[in-house]
Amino acid sequence: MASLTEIIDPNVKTTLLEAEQALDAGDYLETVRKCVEVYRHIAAQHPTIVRKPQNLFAELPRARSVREGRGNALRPWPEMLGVGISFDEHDTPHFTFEKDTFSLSEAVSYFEYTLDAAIRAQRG
Amino acid sequence: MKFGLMFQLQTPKPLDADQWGAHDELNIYHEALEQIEFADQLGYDYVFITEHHFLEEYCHSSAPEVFLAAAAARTKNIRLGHGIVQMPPQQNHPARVAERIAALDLVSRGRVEFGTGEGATTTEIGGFLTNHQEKKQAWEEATRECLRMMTSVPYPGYEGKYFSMPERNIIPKPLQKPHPPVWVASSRTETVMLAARFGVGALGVGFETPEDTEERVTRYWELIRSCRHPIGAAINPGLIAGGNMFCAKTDAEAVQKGLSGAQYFGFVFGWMHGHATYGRDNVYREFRKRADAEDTAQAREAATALEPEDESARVLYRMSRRGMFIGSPQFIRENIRQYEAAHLDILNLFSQCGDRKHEDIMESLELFAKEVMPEFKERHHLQQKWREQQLDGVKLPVHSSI
Repeated sequence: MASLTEIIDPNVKTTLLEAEQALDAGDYLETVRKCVEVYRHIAAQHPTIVRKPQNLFAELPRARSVREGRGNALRPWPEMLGVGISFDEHDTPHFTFEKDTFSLSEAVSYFEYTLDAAIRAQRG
Repeated sequence: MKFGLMFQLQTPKPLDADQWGAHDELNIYHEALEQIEFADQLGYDYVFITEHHFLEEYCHSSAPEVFLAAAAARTKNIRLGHGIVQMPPQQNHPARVAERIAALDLVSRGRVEFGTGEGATTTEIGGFLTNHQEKKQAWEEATRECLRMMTSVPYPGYEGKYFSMPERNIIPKPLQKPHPPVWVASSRTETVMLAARFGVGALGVGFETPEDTEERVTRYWELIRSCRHPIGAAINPGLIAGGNMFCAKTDAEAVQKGLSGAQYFGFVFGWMHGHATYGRDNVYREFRKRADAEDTAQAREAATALEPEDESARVLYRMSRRGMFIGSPQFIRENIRQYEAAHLDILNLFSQCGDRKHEDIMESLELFAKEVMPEFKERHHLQQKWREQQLDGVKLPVHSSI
């Protein structure tokens, strides 16, 4: 599982550090904003990391992560926690903040999700 | 490693009727209690029971506090876990949860594990008009205050977003101090890390592989050591992974007697997420139509090691496979060793599911206890030593049964 010390990209590392500092300071909206910023950056650099929300009953995609020997499967952005995601015709993600206050648990969830996505993007 | 049994009280409908028979639910309840009593005698460490509402056939455990109280009366040592209590106040008021947890802890003489969660499906949380997008916030608020109620004399009262109440002393207080060990249901990886940041155990329900577990353990313990937002008055560091278990003398016998139950488990779980028409479905009949079809069997054979990439879909997929714990004692032991190597604390096993017969489940429980568990119990002291090393330097009080 991801750890901040593993991040190589200085922009991603700095932004995630800022996100964690905001978490510790109790500014959960700022934490989530920073996570969105990181995810947007990752999506631009590594489009394959982005997974659209899945229909549980859709045909099962081939498990690239299993074929390529990676551990945990990829997951879509957790939009249920208050930041929606949509995709344009170029599959670029766009984010909508559906609320302006977040709880600690929601901010932590976004932080850990984004950190994990950043590490996966880095590993390729 | 320690071992638990996880119950849902799955109650398939009869094939030849639209509703359950007069004693179907009665039988499931009492057979499960008999299985738990037997498990206690055999040395299983935990029993967890879920809380779900309105999920017909999938889970008929909608009042787990009642069931666990009955289990408490029939057992001596086995820990009694909520896997989980749905904490959003529209489903369970935090004061009532605090009262019931404490009462169960007294009745059981201090054997409660307090598993918490948000609830998941639209069917159940929608039935209580809980906002799906706010259930995590509601969980956080309610759980924090519920634990304060167990430790405060008096509880000073609270004005919150999801509930409010004036000053009262919530009684009784639990026997375990400051409160029973706390868990949160964690199928998604970020929830496991959330558990660590809150200082609670991660009650995995996602049929995690050893590889999943190894990745999660490292980060989980890193976050536990730096825990700055404990949700309770003591932390409960620990990880549970879940799986479907049926143990028989040979792999072939285990598959023949146990696989259908696992497949039904996955099928009815999927049904609950999409198709349900309340009071009118016969999911078991739908399952058997598909399961008995020859082309389904062929397709099942063809779809072997490919798993969905999406974590939620992957859980669904894994639920209905043979997995790592349906087989002979040797097959199961070899697989559990991988979890042990990854430093998993507790393996929680679904045993009662689908159309598995009660007498077969009892035999499976006994064989597992006698021919699988012993080596892991003998080595558990090594896991405890490893845990002590992880917690070296942690100043927060720890209350754990592991």
